[in-house]
Amino acid sequence: MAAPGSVMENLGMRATVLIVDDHQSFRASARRLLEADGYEVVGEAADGESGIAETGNLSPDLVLLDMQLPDIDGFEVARRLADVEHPPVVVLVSSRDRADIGSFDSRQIAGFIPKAELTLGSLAPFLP
Amino acid sequence: MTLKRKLTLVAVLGLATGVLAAALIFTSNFATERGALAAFLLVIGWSFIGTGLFAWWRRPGNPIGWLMTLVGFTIFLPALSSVDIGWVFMVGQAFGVISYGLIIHMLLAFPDGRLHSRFERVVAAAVYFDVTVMQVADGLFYDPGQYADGCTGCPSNPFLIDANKAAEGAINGVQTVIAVAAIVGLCVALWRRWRPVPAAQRRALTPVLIAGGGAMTIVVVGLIASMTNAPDGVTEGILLATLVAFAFIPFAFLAGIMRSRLSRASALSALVARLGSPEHRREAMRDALAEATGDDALRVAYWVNDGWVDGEGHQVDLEPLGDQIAVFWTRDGWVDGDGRQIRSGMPVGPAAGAGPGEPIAAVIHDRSLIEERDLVRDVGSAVGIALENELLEAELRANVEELRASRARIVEAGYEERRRVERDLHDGAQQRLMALGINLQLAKAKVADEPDTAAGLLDDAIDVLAEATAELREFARGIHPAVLSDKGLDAAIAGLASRAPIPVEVSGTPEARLPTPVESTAYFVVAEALTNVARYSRAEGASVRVEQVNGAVEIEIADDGVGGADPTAGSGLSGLADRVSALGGEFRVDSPAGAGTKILVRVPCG
Repeated sequence: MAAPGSVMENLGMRATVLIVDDHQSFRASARRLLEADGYEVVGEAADGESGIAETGNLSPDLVLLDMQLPDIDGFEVARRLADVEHPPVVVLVSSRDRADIGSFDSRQIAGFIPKAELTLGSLAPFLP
Repeated sequence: MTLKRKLTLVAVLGLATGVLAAALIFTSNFATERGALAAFLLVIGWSFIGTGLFAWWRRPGNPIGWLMTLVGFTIFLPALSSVDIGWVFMVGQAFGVISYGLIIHMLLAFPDGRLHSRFERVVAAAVYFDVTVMQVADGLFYDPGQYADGCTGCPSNPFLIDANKAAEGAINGVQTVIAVAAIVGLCVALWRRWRPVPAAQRRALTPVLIAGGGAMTIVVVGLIASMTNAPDGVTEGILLATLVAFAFIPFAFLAGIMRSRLSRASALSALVARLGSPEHRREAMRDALAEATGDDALRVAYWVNDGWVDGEGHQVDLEPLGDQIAVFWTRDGWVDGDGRQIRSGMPVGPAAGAGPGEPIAAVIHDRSLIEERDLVRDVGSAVGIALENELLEAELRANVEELRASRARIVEAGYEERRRVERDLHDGAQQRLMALGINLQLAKAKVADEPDTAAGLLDDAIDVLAEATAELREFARGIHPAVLSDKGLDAAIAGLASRAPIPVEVSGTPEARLPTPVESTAYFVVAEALTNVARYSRAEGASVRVEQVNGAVEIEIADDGVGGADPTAGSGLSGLADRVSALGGEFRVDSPAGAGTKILVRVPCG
């Protein structure tokens, strides 16, 4: 199973993903789902600062970013990720509804997926 | 300058003035009957000064004292008319009668030193006019050498406009009329003053009025006699009587002032009224006290947050006090600076340091007030009552404030509880259910092609579901334990004890059901206390005792841990204290460092 229609798939490369979420159970499930979906999960981070650091180290194609983190919130993380050398595609996830999130800067955040709706194929639309 | 020093200075000045006056008389070229004149001036002048100073010292706030002293000094003024220098002689003539004006002023103002009505002010003004302006006017036409009774060797009058006996006589006539009218007015005023006061106060007032009014009446008789050219014997007799009457006045005044309950009674009733009035403020208390005792420098200080402050909250230093002493109002009544209890009134004793334990207020007053035992006792009682009221009022205000604060804290605690519920749900069960959802989706996707993987995913899902269920159960118990509703406090506390990480001994839990709010509060007190024991106390064991005593539930949670719990430090104890106080209960934490913690709670069941 691979990300359908992915440019990278066409080039024979698996897209790399970093999961930033403070809940271990969610990270484990998301990793399993994403790997089943054909992504390469290159790392996990439990808070915003280490998420930013790991992005710098690993240069993932995509960061699956929880909105609510123990140190800084997902929006702040996304704002700072936009300034790194190779900015990743940032997809915000949350256990809250879309309506609770409000607006966000589409230059920093490619999209939002409620955690309950994170399924096979749900990340594909955000990758080139 | 302190009062004592000021009075000493005036006394020395008075003595010197008297000696100077006598010297002037004895060295005069022309004065007749020098010995008698000097003796009378000295006796009367010094009597007024001496008694005036004494009254001034004892009643510093009452102008009568210094008025009397001033009269004493003016008594000496006629001695200037023994000097063989024209203008000095005339100054003695012009101001030699000013003492009459002051004496009438004193009589009008007795006993509190104030003129109370427009009528009294008019009488006083007329007298002053008479003894100053009219007397000076008289001097412009007075030629001592030409006077009928003669003044052999008197200097000539340098201010003389015209030695006109007719003009001088006319002025004298007007002066006499004004004087007689003023003295009649004085008698009316005194009668009005004397008549309505109670018999006890009249007793003190009467001698003053008789001596003063009597002397003034003799003066009037003398004036009329001199106008009507009475025989010499009569005039001299009247003069002698005037002098004797004058000599009595200061002592009558002194006796009146010292014995008078009028000023004290009125000051005291004013004090009580002012202290009792609803709008009385702390500054008003000081003012009222200062007025009642006549001690303008009197201060009242309140013990607030381990320091002395005045009514406006400014810091007050109790040292050094100089000529003042401080007495302290405590829960046990008045005590002196050494903490000795004082049986009655504002009392005696040196001030030492910040005063004894548990002070409420301090009154810092002139040392001389120690002598005023009666006044001080009465004022002390009145102030004690007022301070007591103020204390009660302050406690009430503090209680209301605390009530308001605890109500706000309870509301805030409610919101905080909601936030905690949301956070716990979000971080706990919700995350597990999210993960469960993902696992199930994944399992669904794999079930056809990879049934073994799908089965593994489903096993994981079952585990996650079990965890979520356990977490929700625990969570629900935190909101309100079902066992408490179903089986009561006894079973609920047993459950808390069994889940605690250290051994908890439970005793005396009531088997009968208690009112729901009491049961809930008792349960949460025990739950929070045991949570704190587990988190902070490092205890090896704890005990819980819940007993129903005299219509109330008493809860005691004790541990053998490190102690030092601070109920104000946001340990959850303050929230418990609020819950307990909302039910009219008491909450106490006894947690000395190193000696375990004991929480004692009493909640009425009614």
